[in-house]
Amino acid sequence: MAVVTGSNRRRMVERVGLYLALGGFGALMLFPFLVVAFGSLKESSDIFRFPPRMLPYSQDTAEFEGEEAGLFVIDGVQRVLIETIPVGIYAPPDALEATVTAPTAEVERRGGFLDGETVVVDGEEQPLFDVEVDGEIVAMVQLSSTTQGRFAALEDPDDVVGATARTAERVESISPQPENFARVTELQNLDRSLTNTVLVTLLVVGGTVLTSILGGYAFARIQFPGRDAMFLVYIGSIMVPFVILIIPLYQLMVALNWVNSLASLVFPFVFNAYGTFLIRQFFISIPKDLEEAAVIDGASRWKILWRIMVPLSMPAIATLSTFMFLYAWNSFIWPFIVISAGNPDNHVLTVSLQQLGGRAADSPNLILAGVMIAIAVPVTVFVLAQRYFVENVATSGIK
Amino acid sequence: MTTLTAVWDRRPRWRLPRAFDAPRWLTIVLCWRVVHLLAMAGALGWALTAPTLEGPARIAALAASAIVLLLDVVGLVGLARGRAVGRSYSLAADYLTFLGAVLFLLHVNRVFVGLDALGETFSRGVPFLLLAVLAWIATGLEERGGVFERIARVGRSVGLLAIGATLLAVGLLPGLATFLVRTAQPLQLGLVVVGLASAYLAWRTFQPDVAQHLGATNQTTRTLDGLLFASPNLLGFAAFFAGPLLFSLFVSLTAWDAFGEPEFLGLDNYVNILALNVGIASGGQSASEVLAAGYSEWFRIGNVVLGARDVLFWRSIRNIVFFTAFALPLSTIPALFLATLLNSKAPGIKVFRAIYFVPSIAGVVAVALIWRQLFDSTIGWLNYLISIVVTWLNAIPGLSITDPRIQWLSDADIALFSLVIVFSWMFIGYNAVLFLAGLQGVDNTLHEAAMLDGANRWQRFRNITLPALKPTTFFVVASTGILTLQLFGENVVLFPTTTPIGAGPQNSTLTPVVYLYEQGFRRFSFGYASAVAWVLFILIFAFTLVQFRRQREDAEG
Repeated sequence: MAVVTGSNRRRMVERVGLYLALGGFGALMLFPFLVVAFGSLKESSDIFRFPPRMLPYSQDTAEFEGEEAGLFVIDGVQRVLIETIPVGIYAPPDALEATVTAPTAEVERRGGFLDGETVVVDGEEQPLFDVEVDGEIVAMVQLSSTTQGRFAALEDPDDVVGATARTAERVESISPQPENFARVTELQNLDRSLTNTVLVTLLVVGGTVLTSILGGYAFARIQFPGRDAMFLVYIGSIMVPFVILIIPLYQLMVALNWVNSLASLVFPFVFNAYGTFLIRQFFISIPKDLEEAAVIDGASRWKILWRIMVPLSMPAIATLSTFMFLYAWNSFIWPFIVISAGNPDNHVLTVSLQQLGGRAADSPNLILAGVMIAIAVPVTVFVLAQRYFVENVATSGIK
Repeated sequence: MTTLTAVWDRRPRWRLPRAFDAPRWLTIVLCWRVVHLLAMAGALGWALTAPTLEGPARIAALAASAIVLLLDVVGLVGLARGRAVGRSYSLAADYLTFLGAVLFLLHVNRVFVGLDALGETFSRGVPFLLLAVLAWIATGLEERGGVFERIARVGRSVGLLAIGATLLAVGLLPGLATFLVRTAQPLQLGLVVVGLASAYLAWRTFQPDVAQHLGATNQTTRTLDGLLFASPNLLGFAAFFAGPLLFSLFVSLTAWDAFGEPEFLGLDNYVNILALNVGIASGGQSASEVLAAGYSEWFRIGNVVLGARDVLFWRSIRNIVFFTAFALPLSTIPALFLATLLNSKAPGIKVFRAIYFVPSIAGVVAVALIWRQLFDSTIGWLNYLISIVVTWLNAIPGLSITDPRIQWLSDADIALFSLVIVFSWMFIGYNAVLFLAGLQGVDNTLHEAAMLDGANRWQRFRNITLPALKPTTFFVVASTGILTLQLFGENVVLFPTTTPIGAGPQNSTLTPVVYLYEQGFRRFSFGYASAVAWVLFILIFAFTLVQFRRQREDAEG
């Protein structure tokens, strides 16, 4: 009995270790998405905050003397900022650690503005200032400057204290900013890009499925001389990297006048060797007796294909569809080359997003909102049709 | 699909009239062949001489008319001798003429570029389209019987209506009207006539009685059927793959700025790209003093200066080799480890598999933008997490590490490794699922036998799993390597403001494809850029070949 419990405990430990390892990797994969999801809901000041935090916060406001003002809390009292004054941090040149904070407006250059006195500190010449300390004027050098805020208590406007504005503790609460999505859509025409992407993706998926079914049937079921050599050459084209086609295909688009048009994203991509291969393999696995009955009934090849082969091949068609969906939705290099210079109305999401990244570098929250819009559809489709995505990967590995 | 086929079956049975009997019809086809041949000869002459045709357009026109002319000649001779082969070639010529006329009609009527207008109205159709999809799903419920049968029937009608509504909403009627108005012009009407005539000719010649008359075998019929079904793929392959590929090879041998005719250079482009020169710098000599004219320093080891004519290209090669050397192991070895973890029966494992897969479906632009945020050197999470770890470590007595505050995207020594992180993060999960598929194919009995022999876990992995995974490993390494060698999107998104775009700080992330883009689309040296593409292709091919060889050798040895 002791042996059994021992092995049970070992299995338990193994399980825990397994989940820890899986969870660790899972966190690594999910964390950036969480940053995007929450970051897309942050307001601008929140996303630039350091240290970063996950949830979207914004400063609470309260009515103060008839106006909405941001709330701070200083020494336990809720206050609002009524004024900011620039202040300098000063210290005597011989005792740099004895710092004093004073408003720059109340400090004057020693010896006047034009020919002020200087002192050498750590080998560097620095101007001297007259700073009043406890009623005495002391010569000091300026170490740094900041902004001093004057904060009035919310309950009692006459109770005013000074504090460094930048580091004053804000009263904050979680408040997502969904209007980021509307703003980024307006900024970069993302709604139009989204429709274009949907349109292009639908046409590429539909077109590829159609041509692959026709070609797959010819290569799987119709015996004719030269067929297998032809198929081999066609499949061989999968091995050729796309970069080699960029320039000639671009020239073809120029010749057809398709540059800057959605046509350039659709028609060259509806003939796919991988798709034909996938469908052919599936067709080959279908037993021939099913068709023979139909042939005896006098059905044409066309009818056999659409009434018998295609309904049986739905899993392969779904797999191919998910593959082409991802390919069309996420393709970047080609759209970047053929359409990014032209009419923004013809952009697709990847191109818009890339341009947004360049244009809106100062509002990362909007960029992240754009990213959310772009990944929402693929992620949804993935959740709904996960099986086919994974199958697609598995079949591509077997070939 | 069921909806569509049901409608298709209920269509009225009407057949085209088979005018004339087979012998008389063949006489007509023979006459038509002569006319067609003359027309094609005219087209070929026009393609050779027309001043308006430039570069690829002329080549395409020449190729198309020459091929159809050839079909015409063989078809004519064959028909004149009463051979079945004449019918086959004649059919091919008429089929291609029909397709050509239709496609050209669509082209001159601007139907293809009309997609842009559809993009504008398409959003109006989306709700109806969603309804159609729902209705289609409902029709799938039919087999469950009972109430579902009625739901399926309703779904069928709703689906049809929704498809109709979608077409109307996106502007089918105005589109058709525009098309008809545009067709009412001489060229377009001519194309309609040619298209219809060729279609009827092809159809009538295709009929069995004509085949019988010429004594065509079943084999011929099968060949024609096969080519007909494969024709979309074959024509697409010729137009968008084989043709461009050959054209690219030609352009790479020329100097061409896309305007006017390419100037033939022979192998000059390749020589300029690849030329290297070595010099020994002694006593503080500069690179220009020890290298041959036209060369500048690529890098130096000690006194030895290696110079290149195209330093930027060699810089891109060095970058991509470094990138691949890090990104390839980082995106495959952890993936194999993950796959072995995923290959267990523990509950919830599918959830993890799905999570690991998500980065690869998000797309390169989105992923790069996400990481750009994390990489931010002042407010980014990455530096923040590093500084937390540094603080923890410094709590250990005797340790004092300075917070590195890494400039992920602006430090020339770091930028390429930032790209390695982005790439590996994106593909680890994808590769893990690939490995998992391979692992699930490994024979379990071998493992059990080894376990009985007392082999430990590592021994079993090393001696059973790894050898069995050889084909999967080859596929994963080869396909990932092909991706790393073509790195481009991440660069462009992460370094949109550098020149060349995507080259990063001090060209530290300049990759061959970035360089190709710069040469082709910024400097318009299409010949040179094509040559760069071919050099890269050879590099990728060599890489794949080496992987393949290794897999072979291991399998044999």
